[in-house]
This record gives sequence, structure tokens and C-alpha cells, in this order.
Amino acid sequence: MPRSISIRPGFTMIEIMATLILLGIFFEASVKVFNSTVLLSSASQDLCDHTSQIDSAMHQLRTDVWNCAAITVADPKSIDVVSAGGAKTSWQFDGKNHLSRTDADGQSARWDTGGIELAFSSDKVSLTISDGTASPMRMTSQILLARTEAP
Amino acid sequence: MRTSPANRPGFAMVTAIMLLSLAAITVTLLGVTITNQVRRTEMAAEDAQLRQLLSAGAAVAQTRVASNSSGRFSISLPDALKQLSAELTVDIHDVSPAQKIAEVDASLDNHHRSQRLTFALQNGAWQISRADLGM
Repeated sequence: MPRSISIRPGFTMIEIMATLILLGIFFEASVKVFNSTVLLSSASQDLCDHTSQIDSAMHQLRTDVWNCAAITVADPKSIDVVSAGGAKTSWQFDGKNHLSRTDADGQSARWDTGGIELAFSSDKVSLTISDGTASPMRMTSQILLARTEAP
Repeated sequence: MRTSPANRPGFAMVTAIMLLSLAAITVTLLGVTITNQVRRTEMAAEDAQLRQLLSAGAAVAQTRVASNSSGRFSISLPDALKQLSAELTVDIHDVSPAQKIAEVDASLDNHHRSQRLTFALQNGAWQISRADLGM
């Protein structure tokens, strides 16, 4: 008596090829989405850190300049700010990544600029900080401004 | 033998949900980053406007001190600034016959900054001897 042969329905080569191609596309897309998520997360954190570092440095520099009686730009990378009381504070950009401040007592502070190149210039009343973009930052001394406005 | 629909492991569905979750996280992160930058830019613009107001207040304070005025003054601002709910006040008080202090206060809608100016009598004229930027 002949044995009964069970016929299993299979897949054609074209179906398997199509499935493999779809899986490949799906896998590549998922890898790219995953990479984007990780990179964006990291970039977002870096941006936040650099922003807060620069904001902190600019806040301190603005406070120094606001109350200064003289601004001396030795070169585009370093300045001396002399307060109304005569205390001298030096600011220096190392040309790479760091902006440092040394006050009259010798205490130092350092900020990471995140690769942004800074250059100082002054018109004797205000300090201009250029970061290479079209809109430099300008900080004005109230004391020097009052002197220029005084009759 | 084919599996019944109830026994399918749902690989595609799980992968699709994971991918959608990753995409949602990416979009959310992007949104948060952009929102933070927009807020920071707005804050910086308001801060710059307030510093301009403080400089204007310092000029007014200098004039008032020179004319020996003291007390609290509200300074009239242009219409464009009034529409932003901007206010500028100067409060001058005497510390000694040779020293006066002026508190200049500038505010916009939800933002506020102030400075303290110390005036000293030098060679018969009132001059700013110290300017402290407050918050």
C-alpha cells in the first residue's frame, strides 16, 4: 500500500528574495534611526553644556566690563579690564578651546568655548567679542559711557 | 505546516513599534533642543533690550544727580517699548554730601534687570564711580 505524501505549501524563490530585500531595508532603516537617536542625544547634551559654559563666561565678562574704567586690548586674544576701584582683571583666549579669567587676587577661572574662536577688540567705551560670525557681541562700560556723554 | 494567526510571534510588529519609539525619541529630542535654543535667543534679545534701558537709565540718573534731584522717577519710554510692557525707573538717594546712589530698574513683560550706580563728587562734578549690574 503506497504511503500518503503530505505536501507542505512552500515559498517561491521570488517571495524569499523579496522578503530578504524588505528585511534588509528595514534593518538598515532601524540602524540609521538608532544612530540618529544616539547622536542627537549626545549632540544635544554637548550643545547644552557648551551653551551654558559660554553664557557663564559672557555673564562674568559683561559684569567686569560693566563696571570698568579702562579696557586694554593687548592683542585679539587677551584683554585687561581695570575696574573703577583699580582692580585689574585679565581675560585670555588660548586660541583653541579655553577662555580664562584671572582677577586681581590671582584667582583663575576657565571656560570651554566648544571650539569657537574668540577675538577681542575695543573702541575704548565698549568691548567687542567676535566669534567669526557676522554678529559680534558688544559689552559697554557704564563708567566709560558716562565719561563720553559728560559735557 | 502553517502557524495559525494566534501563534505568530509578531516580529514585524515589535520591530515596527521599536522603530516608531526611536523615531519618537529623536523627534522629541530635536523638539526640546530647538525649543531651548529659541527660548535662549528670546531671553538674550530681552536681556540686550534691558541693558539698553539700563544704559538709558544711567544717562537719566547722571542728569538728575547733576541737578541735585533725588527720589524715585519713572522714565517715559517710546510707544514701541510701552507695547512690550517696558518700564524704567531711577531711584536716587543721598549717602553722604559727596556720594549718591542711583538704583536703575528696567523691566519687560516677564523679565527684569537692575543696576546700582554710585556717584561721587569729583572736582565739583558728579561722576559715576561704580556701576554694579544686578539681576
